[in-house]
Amino acid sequence: MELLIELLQDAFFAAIAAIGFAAISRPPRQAYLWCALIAATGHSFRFLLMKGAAFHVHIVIATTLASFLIGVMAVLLSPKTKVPAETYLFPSLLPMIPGIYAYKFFVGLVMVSYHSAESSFDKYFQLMASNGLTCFFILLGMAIGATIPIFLLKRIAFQATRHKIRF
Amino acid sequence: MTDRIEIDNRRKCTIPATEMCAFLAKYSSSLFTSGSTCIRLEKNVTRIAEAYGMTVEVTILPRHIHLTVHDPDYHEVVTAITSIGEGPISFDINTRLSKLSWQIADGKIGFCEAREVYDRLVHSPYHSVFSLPFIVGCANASFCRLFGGDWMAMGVVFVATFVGFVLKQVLMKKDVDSRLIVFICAFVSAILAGGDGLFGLSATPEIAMGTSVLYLVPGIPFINSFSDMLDRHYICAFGRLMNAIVITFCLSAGLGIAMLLMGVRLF
Amino acid sequence: METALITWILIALLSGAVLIYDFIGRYKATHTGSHLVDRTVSRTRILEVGNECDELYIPGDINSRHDSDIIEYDEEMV
Repeated sequence: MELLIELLQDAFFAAIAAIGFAAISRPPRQAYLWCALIAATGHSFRFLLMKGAAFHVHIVIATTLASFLIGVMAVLLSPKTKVPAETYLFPSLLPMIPGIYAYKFFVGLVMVSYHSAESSFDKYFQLMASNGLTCFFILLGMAIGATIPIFLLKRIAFQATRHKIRF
Repeated sequence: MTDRIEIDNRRKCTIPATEMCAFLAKYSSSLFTSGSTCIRLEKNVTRIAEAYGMTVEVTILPRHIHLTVHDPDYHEVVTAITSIGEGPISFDINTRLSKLSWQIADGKIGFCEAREVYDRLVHSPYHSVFSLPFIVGCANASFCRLFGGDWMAMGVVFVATFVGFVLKQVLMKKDVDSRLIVFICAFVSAILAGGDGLFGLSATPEIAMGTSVLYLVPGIPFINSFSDMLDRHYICAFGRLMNAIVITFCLSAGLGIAMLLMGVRLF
Repeated sequence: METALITWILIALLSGAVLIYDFIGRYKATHTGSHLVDRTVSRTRILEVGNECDELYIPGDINSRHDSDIIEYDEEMV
């Protein structure tokens, strides 16, 4: 029960975050609502995978799977609304961008060059490397997860803005 | 049946390859600036050229696009190199440019009309449904919640983001370098969010400070870069990745200095 | 602690000034200048290679290169 409430809360805040971050990249007006819906589903799915008692999946794999779900939803939705899949896909992925890992990597980088004593160097190098690698692989996983549906459903994805789709 | 005849009539009118190439150069430059991936750019450009019986080869470089249009009927080969403008990412323009390419390919509009439509839609201003600083503030505050901040921290993050975003818009109007803008905004937002820990407003000051700058993370360039990489456009992917990394570095520098001044440690 | 407090107050004052400046700017020009300058349309250079092969540019012979081979397309022309 507690998990359910947390899950709904996660979905709600992810939806708001998606709307806000989507607004920066100027989507068409009708896209706001769908972005929020897709992002909420994707982000709460990732939350379930990571925190759910039965799963405890690593963040990279959880993000890849969630991105795949987001990609499938975006590609299937795009022809119905005559909008390219990326328009839904990319803003919906934004709440999962590993921003904190990215700047922890840079702070670690500065710290590594600042401390030369072996013990503190090791500590900061470890922090830098683990944050940097996690960031890199989350981004890679996101791109792979989100791009697979586009390639699998190529015919839909690249004809979405066409007036009439001929299968 | 009538549909097909109409399409053929449209295609009979001959467009010089030079004109086509000039149009495609501008079109691809706008499409790239609006934040489209390389694969979409190639597909859209090829689609337009093929509608008039021409073939086109596109080379996408980090700051330039190189197009060669070949018209087999007149044995004409035209090359254009266009520089990519700097501008805001706009999925609205991206969507409408993609629609335009299908309209041309399906013979719904002629070439001259398409050029007019293009000019109009590229110059059309974008009016958001929401007030941008407000909605971005809300988004960042929800982000703070997702990372485990409490309600007070959310309020602080909202204010910090709101101010930072207004500052960003003011500086963008003044044509300040985009990297400098990111550095300044990250610094200001982080210092303001540092007030949380300074006055003991909430139990999670470091989360407030960490999430207050997340609205500056270049998410779309990062995703675009990796999706280009999967499409084997390595040079373009690297260019975009480098761009995103430089921006993230500026952001981290602003945040790091702010943390040093406020006496908050990240690790 | 003191540095932190002074920095915070300075930045808070600065932000207040920015907010007021922005508000006055918006108030003055509610219609114009509210969106960014459009720089998406860039200058394009076209290099035309025609059918007349004998008129093509030969390296070292600068005179054989015609001005008409390079056409600059400005925004008004296209």
